[in-house]
Parts: sequence; structure tokens; C-alpha cells
Amino acid sequence: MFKKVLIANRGEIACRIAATLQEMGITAVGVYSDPDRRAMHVRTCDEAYPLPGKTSAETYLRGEKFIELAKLHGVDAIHPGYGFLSENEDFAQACHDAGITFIGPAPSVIRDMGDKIIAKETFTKAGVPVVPGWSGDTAIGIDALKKESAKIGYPVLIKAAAGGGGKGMRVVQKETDLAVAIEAAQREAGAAFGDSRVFIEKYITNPRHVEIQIFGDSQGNAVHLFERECSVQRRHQKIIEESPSPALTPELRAKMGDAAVAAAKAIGYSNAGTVEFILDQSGNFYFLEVNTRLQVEHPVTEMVTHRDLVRAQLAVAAGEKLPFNQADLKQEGHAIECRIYAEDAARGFLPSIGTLERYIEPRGPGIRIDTGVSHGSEVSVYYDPMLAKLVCWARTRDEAIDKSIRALDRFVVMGVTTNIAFLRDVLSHPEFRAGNLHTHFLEQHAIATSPPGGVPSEALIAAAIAARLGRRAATPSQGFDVAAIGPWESAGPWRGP
Amino acid sequence: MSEVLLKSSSSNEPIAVRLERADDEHDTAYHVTVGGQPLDAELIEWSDETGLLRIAGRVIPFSVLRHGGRIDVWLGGRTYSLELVDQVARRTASGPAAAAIQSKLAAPMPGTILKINVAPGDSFEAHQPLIVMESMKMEMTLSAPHAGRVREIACKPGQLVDMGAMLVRFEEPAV
Repeated sequence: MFKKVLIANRGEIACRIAATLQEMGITAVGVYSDPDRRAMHVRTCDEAYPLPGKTSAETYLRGEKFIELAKLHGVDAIHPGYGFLSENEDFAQACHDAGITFIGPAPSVIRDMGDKIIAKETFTKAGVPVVPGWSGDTAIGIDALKKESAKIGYPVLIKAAAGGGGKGMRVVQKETDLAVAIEAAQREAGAAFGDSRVFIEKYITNPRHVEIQIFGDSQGNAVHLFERECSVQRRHQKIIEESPSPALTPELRAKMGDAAVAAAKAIGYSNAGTVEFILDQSGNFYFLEVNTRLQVEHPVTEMVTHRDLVRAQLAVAAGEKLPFNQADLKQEGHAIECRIYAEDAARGFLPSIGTLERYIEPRGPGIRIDTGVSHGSEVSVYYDPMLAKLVCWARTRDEAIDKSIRALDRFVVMGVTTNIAFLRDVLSHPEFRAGNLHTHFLEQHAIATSPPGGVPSEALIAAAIAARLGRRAATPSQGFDVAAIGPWESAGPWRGP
Repeated sequence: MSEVLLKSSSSNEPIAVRLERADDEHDTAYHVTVGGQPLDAELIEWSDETGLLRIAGRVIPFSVLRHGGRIDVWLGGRTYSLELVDQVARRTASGPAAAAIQSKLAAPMPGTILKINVAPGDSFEAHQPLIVMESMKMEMTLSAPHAGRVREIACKPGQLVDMGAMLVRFEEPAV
């Protein structure tokens, strides 16, 4: 097993990876840019080294700096986290060339799966259902493209081969719009990814985004750890994820799981990965893409399967056999993850910059919080404004929703604006409770994003009482002084249950 | 009874919030009037500017940050920025509130005085701990029912007292 692992990342995922490393007695090495000098992940790691600079491009995307630090400090493996260099085949190769283990799949697998056209072809050959579509050289001309699109059937979706996140994507309702859409998509893709190749797919209305966690080892074994539903998205950014998916029957789950494992074996996949599918309204599923990394929402899988995926990543990367067989894996209960973002809903969800003047996490059974911030942390312009992931587990989906709402009501963040009220509104919506999710859920239900005008009476009462009682902390005591802290002393103000 | 005037960025006019201690055994309840509308509120928990209110049967967690005259209230995932326009504390001697103005602090149970936190002439605030005593193997803190001044200390540490014994005499409240 490795002795020292460098985490080429920051924030909550760096803290989360460090936790497992330290549990295993492995030295956790962190890195930090100038703005992150006093960040939580730096204090959490056993050793930490500076990456001079401010922007991601100057710091967390500098693969050669990680390798240099690794060599200098005797690091034997690098965990890339998610985002940044986690799906960069050149970085994975550079680690390999330097004799440092890259915790993830082989560079060639990263490369192939990073190209959506290649990925689609590979999986079609492996017998995995894919979204009906066409990919080829768009130089065949607009008439030929119109023919192909007609074969697929409108509406169609133009997509970029080299990347996602909505860039280079256009929905085309009718043939007369096709030429303009293709040109626009190509331009956008070229600007965003340096690769203007596009392909065409059937556009599925109100699709559900359901992904399967896969895991392979270097000995040819591969398993799936069931699904996550990630349909609640805004501008292609996931906001709420859950496992199990309310849309899956046991039969569908088995079919999708088998398809994902077949896919993993077809490409010789090793370490953690995710096979993304879309579900149409008739229960048909289609392969979308493979993410060759650990994902943000991996905690929901950990909560329902009772596994530590980072621990399994380290085992596999160290050459060990997968620590679980398919028969060992079960889903139990229900987990929901809410991503807490520092964003200003009233200003188009732009990041909200500031210092966390107060930060109090909710506590209680079944509540897990992965975070990279604490009281006093700075939220800067340079990086993703996700503050924390609130993950709640309960025996049933209804209970998990109840628990998440109660936890959000007690998640105090002051100093920046957050999406906590927004998350609460989504979870409280009857259609969410009913499990009727799809990727246009937020637009369809137009869940209010800005605060209602005016200040609620409760806030005025709270302010008035606070003004009267003053700053004085309550006196802890036993017996008769019940106006102070409740009878159960706790580290935080929300005594349970 | 006291009145607090609060202003928010969305309102031109300050809103008056009147607080009156309700006569309850746990000393946590208030009769509140917000902009003329009466409500019953209970402060279930309060520690380090964070607490729980119960209003009309609903439990509401909240947190408050004060910056001088500004009060930021976090509630339900949103932060409301309020300004304390004026604080008018009034002691009224009319109606049930008058019963809340007391002339002394008395021992609620027989026991032993452990600690006396104030001296004659000291001012104190509502809820300020005045006396610590021990009764039936439990330590009890006796807090001031309202703001006032100490006229006389009528006990000493180590003294055994009967139920109802006067421990601290307050000055007559200013009208």
C-alpha cells in the first residue's frame, strides 16, 4: 500500500480524500494556491505545499508542478479528485512515466472515453444501448445531414464530440433550423474545447439522468455499485442527487447495472468510474458517456452501500483485487445529496463572494456533510463556489426528504448568499416528493429563485429578541435555569433529536 | 415590555416589534406584536446568538449576527439585513405585566446558598444570574426576572435558607 499520497485538488474533495488516507495510515499531502493558503484542506492534510499563483490555470491545472512536488517529497501516488486534471490523459501518463501511481484508470481509457464519439462507438459494439444518432464527418454537406437527421427523427440534438457542460449543444425542432444550429454548435465547440467536431442524436424529451457507479481492478474484475439519479440540474449543473432512483424497478436496475459492467469490461476499465445513461419516459435507457473519475456525488452511493469508495480506489491502484464482489453489494435505505453553493439566486446564480461570518452545520443521525469550509473561510472568485455537500440517509425516500429539509433549516451560513432556501423549496415541491424528476424539472416548475419581497415576521421577532437579550451567551446550568441552554449541553446550538 | 424598531432595506418605514414577557414557569415565552399584529412566541433555545423560536406551533431555527446597529438574521436559508433604528425599553405598571415586576428574589426551594454574583448598588439585566444555590443535590442558578438594581443582599454563602426566603431585595423600579 502507498505510504504517501498527494491530493492534486482542493476544497471538500481534498478534505474527504485526506480523511480516508489518514484512516489508512497513509500520509496525506495537500497543495494550495495563494488564495487557498488558509483553506481547510491545507490544515487537514499532514503536509502541504504551495502552488504559487491564483487562478486554476496557474495552480491546480499545473500537472508538472504536482509531479515535481511528488518527486521532491517522496510521494508514491497522486489522487486527482474530480475536475481539474482528473480526466487528463497527459497528466495520467506523466505520472506513470515518473514512476508515480495515478489513482484512476489507464491513460488510454481516459483518452478514449474523453471522446464522446469514440465512447459511443465502443459501447455500441459492446451491445450497450445508445441514443439513436449519427456521427461522421459533417463535411458531407447539409443535404446529407438533413437526411441523417430525418432518419433519427426530430427533434434532434447537436452535440460536441470533445466536451460537455452544454457547450456546443443545440436542440433542433425542425429541418429548416438544422444548418444554422450545426454551424453555431461547431463554432461554440471550437471555442470551448479547441475541437469543433459535432454529432447528432435523438433529442429525448424530459429525460432522466441516471448514472451507474462502476469499479474495476487490474485483474479484469468489474462490478457496479448501483445507480444515482441526478436529474435535478440547472444549466447542466447537478444540484440534487439521490440513490436509489425512484424511476428504477429491480429489473431495470439489473439491466442497467449489467450494461454498465459490460461496458467497463469492454474497455478494460480499472478503478472508479461512472456510466451515465438517460432514461426516456417509457423506461428505455441509453448510454450517454463514461466519466473516468470519482464523482462529486459519490457519497450517496457510499451511504446506501456502506462502502468507502476512496478506500477501494487506493486498494485497486495499489494492484489489489477489488475489495467487493457483485454479490457482496446491496443498496440499503435512501440517500439524498444537496449541493450547497455560495450563489446569488437574485442575480442569476452568480457566485456570491465573501467571508463566512458564521457557519454552523446541522447535526444528527444519518447526516453526513462533506465540506472544505468553516467559520472564517473565504469564498473567492477563483474556484467553484460549492461550499459543502449535505448528504442525508434514512430508511425510505420520504424520510430522507424530511431529514434533508430539517437539516437545511439548520444549516447556518452567513457572510455569503447560498442556495439553501432554493434547495429547500425544491425538496418541498410535491413533484419532487412524488419522484417525478427529469432534467427540466427546475424550469418546468419555475421554483422561485429570489426571496419573496419583505422580511418575514419570524425574522423580525428573532432580531428583536436578540436585541433585547444582547450578546451575552446563556449560562449553562442544571436545574431551574431553563431559559438558558436546553438541558442537553452540546457542541452546537441544535441539540438532537 | 419593550419595543424594538427595525428597518430593512426593502421597507421605508421602520417596523415596531413589541416584546412582553409572558407569565410562564419556564420564562421563555413572549407576547409579541409585529407591526400591530399579535403573536405568541417562545424562545426554546438561545446560545451564542443562535437559537430556536416556536411561533404558532412551528419551530424555527435562526441565527443572528450583530454589527453595531445592524442585525443580520439567518432564517430558512436566507439572511435578512436589518437595522436597529431605536430601542425603547419601557417598564409599564399596568395589567398582568405589572405582576412580573418583582421587588425581590426569593428562594424557590429550601437549600444552601453557594455563590452570590452581585453586590448592593449593582445594576443587573433580565436573565442575569444573581444567586447560585444547591437544593436536593442539584445546582440552581437564580436569574433576574427583569432588569433592575440591587438594594440589599439578604443572604450569605453557605447559609441554609427556607423556601420563600428573601435572598436579594431590588430597588423600586424607576417609573
